[in-house]
Amino acid sequence: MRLLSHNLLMCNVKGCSENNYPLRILVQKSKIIEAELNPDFLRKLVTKLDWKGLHTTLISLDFHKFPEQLAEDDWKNEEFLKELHNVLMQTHIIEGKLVCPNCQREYPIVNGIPNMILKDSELK
Amino acid sequence: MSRPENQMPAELFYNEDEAKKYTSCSRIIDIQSQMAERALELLNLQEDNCILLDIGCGSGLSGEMISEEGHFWIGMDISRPMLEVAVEREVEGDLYEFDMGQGFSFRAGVFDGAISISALQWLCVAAKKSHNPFKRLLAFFQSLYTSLRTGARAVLQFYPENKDQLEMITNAAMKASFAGSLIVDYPHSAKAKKMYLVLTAGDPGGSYNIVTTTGREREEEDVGNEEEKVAVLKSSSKNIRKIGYERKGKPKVKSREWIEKKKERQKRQGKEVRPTSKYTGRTRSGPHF
Repeated sequence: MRLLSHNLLMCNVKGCSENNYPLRILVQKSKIIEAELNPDFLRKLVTKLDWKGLHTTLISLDFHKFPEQLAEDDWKNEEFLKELHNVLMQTHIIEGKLVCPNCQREYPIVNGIPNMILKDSELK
Repeated sequence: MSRPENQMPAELFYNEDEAKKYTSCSRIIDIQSQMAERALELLNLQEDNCILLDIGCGSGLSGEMISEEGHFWIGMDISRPMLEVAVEREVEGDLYEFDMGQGFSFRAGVFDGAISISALQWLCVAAKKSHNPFKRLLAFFQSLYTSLRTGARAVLQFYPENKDQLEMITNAAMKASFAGSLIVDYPHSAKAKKMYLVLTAGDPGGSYNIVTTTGREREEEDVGNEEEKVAVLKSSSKNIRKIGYERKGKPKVKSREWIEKKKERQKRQGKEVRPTSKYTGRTRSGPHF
């Protein structure tokens, strides 16, 4: 799981609709897998990313290089794009857990794949 | 042979043995790849660098076609063995284990499009006593509608068993506020016939019909050198394709040229690649499926 898709993800429990993202990440194993930097793709993300949520997640994972608020100039800065590319596209969470900040539901991450399937009892 | 969804739940059917077929059986790979290509064609994306959702992504075959078009994708599937195969094949998308009939939880408007190959019919059959197929279809379509950007499209290839299933699917889609059409390729061939539900997440309100349209009409082999028209959606541009021509100027999937291009791409990504030799892409002896 990359931090890019994690930023798009919410808690899957039905009825859990407030403060249900970003899910807290408890990392047991992560990996850096190199990928080609695509600046056009990164710039297009400005409308998709929840930057506040991403920043919170990055701090929790000890990535302190990013500003709390984005300025337009940041997207033209090559260093910023390189760092962003590294955390969003190259950092993979392989083993760990996702925890909902609202209902505390845990989703295990095994072999890089989060298990979001709910038990029958969790469906209204 | 009874249909898979009438035998057992999807998460049991797609076990490790079944998953292996999706890496080794060239016939399966061929068919799935072609349908994924067709779905992407019908998606008619006007921009590069999109974020797409692959519903029922399985072993990542369809996702690889998305990567080839240069888009980022997130795949979801109920079968962990199939997803594990995708991980083994080092697909470029992010994978999530979801039961689409439970609905799924991505933020509103994050996807520029969605495709699904051969997955939707699984929702039509109740795998457990607690399952109500229409409710599950509705939960799926509602999640899909929310997670698509306004104006974004979803192209869902599926195999309905009968008219009732088809109606249930289109009703659920319409109830979730989707508009669109059902494209039927090769409607006169029982074997080749393929159905694609093409939906748009548009403005809510008003009543919508899902109109059935014929897509491709004749088998590619029958047509020879004639140009073949592809079914046109109301506002999209025409795609005219010559038969025997490569896919949009790209080499045929699994050909030697395709393999070499894939190796180039993986080398650029810094992956270890076996050197090309006279054996690259050679037709293997042994059983041919």
